[in-house]
Amino acid sequence: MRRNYLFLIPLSFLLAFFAYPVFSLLYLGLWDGGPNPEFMKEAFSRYGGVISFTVYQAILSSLLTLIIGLPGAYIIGNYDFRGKSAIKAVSTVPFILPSIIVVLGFLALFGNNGILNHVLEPFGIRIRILYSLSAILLAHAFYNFPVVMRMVGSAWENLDSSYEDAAASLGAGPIKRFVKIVAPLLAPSIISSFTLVFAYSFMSFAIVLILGGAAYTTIEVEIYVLATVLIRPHMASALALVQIGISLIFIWIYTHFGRTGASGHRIMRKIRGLASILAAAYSFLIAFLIFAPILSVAYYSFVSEWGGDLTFHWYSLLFSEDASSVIGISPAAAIGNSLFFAVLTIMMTVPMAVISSLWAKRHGKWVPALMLPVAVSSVTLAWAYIGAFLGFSIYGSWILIVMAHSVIAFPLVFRSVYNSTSSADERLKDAARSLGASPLMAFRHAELPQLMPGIIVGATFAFAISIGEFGATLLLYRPEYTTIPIAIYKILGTRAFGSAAAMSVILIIMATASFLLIDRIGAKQKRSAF
Amino acid sequence: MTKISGIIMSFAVLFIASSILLASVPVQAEEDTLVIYAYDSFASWGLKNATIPQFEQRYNVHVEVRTYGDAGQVLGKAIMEKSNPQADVIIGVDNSLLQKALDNDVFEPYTPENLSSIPEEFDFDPSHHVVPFDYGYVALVYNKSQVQNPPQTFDDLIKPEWKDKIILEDPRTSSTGMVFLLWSIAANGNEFDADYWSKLSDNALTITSGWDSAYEMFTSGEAPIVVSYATDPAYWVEYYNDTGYGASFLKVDGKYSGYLQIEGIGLVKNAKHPDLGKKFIEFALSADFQKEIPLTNWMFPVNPEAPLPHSFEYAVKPEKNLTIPPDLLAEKHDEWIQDWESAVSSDSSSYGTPYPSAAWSVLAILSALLITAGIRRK
Repeated sequence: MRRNYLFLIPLSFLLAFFAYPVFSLLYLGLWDGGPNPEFMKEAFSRYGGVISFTVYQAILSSLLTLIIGLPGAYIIGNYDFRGKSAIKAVSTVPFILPSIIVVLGFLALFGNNGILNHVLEPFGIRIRILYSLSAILLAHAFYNFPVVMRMVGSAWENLDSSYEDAAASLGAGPIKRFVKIVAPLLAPSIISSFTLVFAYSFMSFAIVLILGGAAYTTIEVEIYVLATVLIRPHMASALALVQIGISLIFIWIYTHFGRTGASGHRIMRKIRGLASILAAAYSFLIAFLIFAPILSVAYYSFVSEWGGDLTFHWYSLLFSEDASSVIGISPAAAIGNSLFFAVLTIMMTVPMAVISSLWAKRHGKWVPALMLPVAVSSVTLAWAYIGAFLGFSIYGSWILIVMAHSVIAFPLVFRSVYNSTSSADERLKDAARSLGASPLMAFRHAELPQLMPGIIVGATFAFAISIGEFGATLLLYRPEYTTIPIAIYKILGTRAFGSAAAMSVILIIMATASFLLIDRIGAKQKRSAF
Repeated sequence: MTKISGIIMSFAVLFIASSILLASVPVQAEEDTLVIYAYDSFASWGLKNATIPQFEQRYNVHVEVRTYGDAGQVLGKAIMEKSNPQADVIIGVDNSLLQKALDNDVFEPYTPENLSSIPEEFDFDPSHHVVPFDYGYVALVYNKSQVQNPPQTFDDLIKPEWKDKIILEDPRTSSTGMVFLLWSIAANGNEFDADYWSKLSDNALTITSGWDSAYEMFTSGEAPIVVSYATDPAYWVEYYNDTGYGASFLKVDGKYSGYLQIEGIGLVKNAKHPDLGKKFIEFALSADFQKEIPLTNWMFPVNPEAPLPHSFEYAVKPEKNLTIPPDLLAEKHDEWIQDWESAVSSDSSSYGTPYPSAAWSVLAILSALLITAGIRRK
């Protein structure tokens, strides 16, 4: 089949820009003129504290995320009420929000000079959570609770209520029903979301780097320091291998134990009484969690200082000569770079995800192999690129940045498209072929429309990941390829919080506009498909 | 048909729009472009704009300044790229980074003619892989409205009255932080005191990766004291006519002492444009360049011909200069960094609470659950 040859495209991409760099990591980490276990030994002895702290904060982050997300899952899974779809829609916001914006939001909200401290000042309360473990945990929980809420929530929604009804008719009380029926059936989705959140917190970079301070070094930050400052390539690679190893364990747990529950019919209850008050309180809490940091950033971008007059000063400063010398290029060019990389990432990943999905449909056991890039963090990937491509002319060019973004985005894009192939009807394509359509026509008119929802979701992921990507870009960029997150990081390093906030607002607006655009195309697509 | 072409169209529009934006960035021919690596503040504080255009005009070339964080990160990048050097000249390698630069063989020795006009006390690299272009002192900079009596000794810094009031920089990533670490070591008879640093990192508000972010936190009111430069009060006077900021040194044996930091410039080994690079180093030591240093880089020029502005009367100088002998520094540098790392790292002190065991037991319970779930499934 001709299609099998097409699979060579994603295969060679993954071999060249994922497998080969990771192999160079293995080489650097285990080899120094011959097999050398010293670096791995040192990783566990000297950096043992860093490794255990990384696991420790990731576990705490995931637990906190579960605590915040599970009530939401319960509400979504059991009740029907007005605004339910709004809550679900709003809860996607943090997930697609670039991590640098989360960092800025936390600075603007919880900083010593932040909004909360100004509001609470008359009451004599001062909050000091930045530059501590709590700041890291809160930021991770904020970033990830929608994962728990949606994954567990949808499993709960599909949990057949007849089991519980049967148990109730046999005399089981609510607690017994929960322990014996609901909890075991929800366990796979809870494990799934826990491991996912663990993986994100385990590999998070910007949040730990900026909100944590030097006392809180995770593996990801240590790799960055070893690679860029201490210049110990072997040690950085050895630590990267440890990181990949631990992620692989959790991904194995994810694929083996975490499955979303079977779909059944659940009777939704009308919300009333105490439950409605609690649900409203919870909705208010998550709305606060989601919007307060973003609105704080927006606030600081429009005032000269706390309580100051409305001003566009920071925005005009952003397009002045000064800002360009801080960032290295003009902010307009940084916006252009971000768009350019994001669009190229979509163009790279979406077609390859479609080819891979159609191929993987017939070779299901290879799906986990295609998902492997999730086990490699952004800093590790970029570091592997430096080791693998330094000698080539491709080093230092923008191509590597696009490739890094594409490798990071590929598993998620592939997953979205692959999910939609399982519901696609093969017979449509066969019918088209038997009616004389060329393979290309059959693909375009019979197969592609069925994959469209997955493609739209995948494109959204690709865009969101690329436009917010920080760690890999920080290692690979040159000033002329500065993206918006790098620009924000650079401005944040000088004295202009307002300008950093203004740049962030631009990024938020751009991201939102692009999602709406992609969503609109998707909606049109769906309508015309029928 | 229309659906797909709609998508392709919108991608195409996005693509063209971003390409136009990209194209608006002038792309220079590589051949006559001098590439300089420098720390961020070289550009953001204005020394770049005050000097580079002069050089470009004089030699009719294009200069591209690429900044990558603090001086330590800039040197790190250069070391990483050693086999394929991208820079011609590196600005900002100081006396604390010198040994690392020499060990990694990043620079090509070059003695500019006008080095003879620079006082010998600043010539910190006798091999001239790196030559000095400015110097200064790290000091505790404080906001006078919040701090009337700044800390007087290193021991004062770990007292409870300064809890969460001081911002430090990470010596691994920040040359300011490195100089402060060396200062504390020199003040302690050239010995690193792990116990002291563990207490200091607990007492400090945070240790930032770069000087820039530490200073931004200081000016936005996160803490009233920051490890910064002795010329800072001059800055506030020059730009804001504000005498509300002070800088102080710390007493060692009864005398206010400071650690002398000398910053250098060097020609990269196997640079693509060595001749242009040499011209630039010569230019950096000339009075034309040097006179811009005080009000942009906020350091003292090494060239005595360069005049100092009036506001520099507010810049302080120590009673006593501390330095660590270069051979001792070379021998101990890595060891100190590693000792510092373990002294301040979170696993020893910052969370000496029962929480870790709680988290580990949760992990144990979780894995037990997983294993039983796995067994039952089979």
